[in-house]
Amino acid sequence: MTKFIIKRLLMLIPVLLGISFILFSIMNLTPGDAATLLLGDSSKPEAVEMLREELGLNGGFFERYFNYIGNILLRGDFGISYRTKNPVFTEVFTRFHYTLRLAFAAIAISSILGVLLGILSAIKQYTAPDNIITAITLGLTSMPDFWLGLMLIILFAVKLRILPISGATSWKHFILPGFTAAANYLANTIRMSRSSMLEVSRMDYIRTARAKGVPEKDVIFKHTFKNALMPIVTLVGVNMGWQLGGTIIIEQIFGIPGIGSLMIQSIRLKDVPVVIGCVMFVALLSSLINLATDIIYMYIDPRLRAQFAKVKKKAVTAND
Amino acid sequence: MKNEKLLEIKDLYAQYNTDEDIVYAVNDLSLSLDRGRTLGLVGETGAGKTTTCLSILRLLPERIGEISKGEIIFDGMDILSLSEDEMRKIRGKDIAMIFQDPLSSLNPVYTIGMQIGEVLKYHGIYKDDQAIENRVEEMLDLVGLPKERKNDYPHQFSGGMKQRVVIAMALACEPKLLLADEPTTALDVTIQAQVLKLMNELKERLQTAMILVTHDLGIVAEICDDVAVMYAGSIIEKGRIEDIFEGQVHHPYTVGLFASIPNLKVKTRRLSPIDGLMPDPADLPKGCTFNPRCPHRMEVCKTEEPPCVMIGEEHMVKCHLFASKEGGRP
Ligand SMILES: Nc1ncnc2c1ncn2[C@@H]1O[C@H](COP(=O)(O)OP(=O)(O)OP(=O)(O)O)[C@@H](O)[C@H]1O
Ligand SMILES: [Mg+2]
Repeated sequence: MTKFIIKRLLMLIPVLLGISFILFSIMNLTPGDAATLLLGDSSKPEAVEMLREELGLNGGFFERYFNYIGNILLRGDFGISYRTKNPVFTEVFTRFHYTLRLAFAAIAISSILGVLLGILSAIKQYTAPDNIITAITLGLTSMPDFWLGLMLIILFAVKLRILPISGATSWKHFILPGFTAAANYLANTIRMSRSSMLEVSRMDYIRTARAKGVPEKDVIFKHTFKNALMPIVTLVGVNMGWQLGGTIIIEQIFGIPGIGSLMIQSIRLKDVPVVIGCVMFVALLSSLINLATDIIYMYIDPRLRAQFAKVKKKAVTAND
Repeated sequence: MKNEKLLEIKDLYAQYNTDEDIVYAVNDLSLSLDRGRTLGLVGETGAGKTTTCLSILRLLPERIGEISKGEIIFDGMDILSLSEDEMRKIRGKDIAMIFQDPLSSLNPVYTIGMQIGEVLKYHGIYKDDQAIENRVEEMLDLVGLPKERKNDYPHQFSGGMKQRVVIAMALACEPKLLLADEPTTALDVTIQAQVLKLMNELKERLQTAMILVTHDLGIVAEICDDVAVMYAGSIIEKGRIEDIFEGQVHHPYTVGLFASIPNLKVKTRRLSPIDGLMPDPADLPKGCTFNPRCPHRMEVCKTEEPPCVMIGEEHMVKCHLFASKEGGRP
């Protein structure tokens, strides 16, 4: 298992290098100059030139790119933010925990609620509860998150005054954005759980379980659910990846200084090191989530575990 | 105890209510089975054999399948009037079923030891986990699998081995009745023979009664005590194995099915095809359901349902040809 994880982690390096190169090129191609942006249009040309020199903006494209990568690999230095002059690493890290908290709230709410409602919908297929849940799902999908966010603010923060309007200083601040973000994922989690449960419930081995006298509750939660779990885990992983990428709109509406807002801010100011730092960080996290998803797969499905064991055995004999 | 009735099905009707139409899969079916005996249930595909077995367990597909009329008496209990929970306690313990495709009958994410042990656990026959473990090992041993393999998953077994697991699962609680729905069709011929031999031995040892659904007359001749021939959802002929294989009088369908008057010595391995098709169970013909294909069709066959005529003590034929005492011979 450790071997598998290490191998997957090593595979991340080329991926991240590729991403950084693409980003660096794109940022390089867009018009606008960081020094001018930082000092404002009315600043003196000499001052701009001095800042350019200081930030290392005068070298050629490849020179700048290799400098950048070299610093990361040798010193773990992701560069300095053009805007705040702080190390990019600190910049990203101080913002990230907000995004993480929001993501955790959103994914926890949407997964737990989504799976439960999906199962309920599946076992009550074509009856009133199923229809109601389907209607809710439709409603959720057709509601844009900025609209839902504003409605929740109006109701709970402005009218009822029980939750704060915006900011990120207490756990209460995360309730409304958490629900808004969860609403996005709730619909697809419900739908996926429902269809996956229904598909598995038609399998022969489910009928076998009933024929053995397994109580209905265990037929559903033991025999059906564990088999239905794979696509659900995949979806939750994808949702988590999205949410950690920083939901720019939700962070903006609720004034949460997460990674999404940082990215938008930095793009506007052409703060190249921070933008690349943010994206690399998000890419790294998404890859880690992918890895976690794969490990969970192996835990659920013995057939995948067997495949992995075979790879491992082969690797061992190859080493001998 | 001897010859005591274990199962009695009276005038059973089962149907599937699909979106398009109503499929009348079992129509006016009656049969009975004594303890410890084996009944062979034969008939073309779509005759309603699986539906009959599922009805006994009350496991017709939810919402679609429905038992519309009739009575099923098992071991003195009226199956159709039991609560879902009472029924659950019978499934797996008193009546076990081996499904038509045993290879997909095992849950891929649980070990086979767990799946065999589960039957024992839910029916509370064994007190503690250790006793269950022991019994699981004993069952694996009984079906000829090494007991160390109880921690393996279904994908690690071959088809024949999975089949043995399914049999171990079905027999773990020593059921009074085993419903075996073509238990060997998914297997190749050599393994078929092994598995059947095994089932027969276990059945003898445990005194289990069995309904064996099969297309293979050779298997019927070897294993069964009684035979019932099914057509379009009802039994058109039944009797002891000698009546069916050696008797002189048969339903025209049975005659066609056996190609010639069958006999126990010259083994007919397979059912032979008969001209025409089984009627669409959503649109059954009036009168005798076999009349459009019958070489001896009379006017009365097109309008009236044939009576069940007793030819011998236990030999029944459902056909107008024998309605009058002297009766023509097909
Ligand atoms: N779930 C279902 N929905 C609708 N119709 C069904 C369903 N299951 C079976 N039927 C129909 O009921 C009839 C009897 O089917 P059944 O499975 O009992 O036949 P069988 O005798 O077991 O055939 P085979 O030898 O092929 O297994 C068939 O016409 C079949 O099409
Ligand atoms: Mg069948």
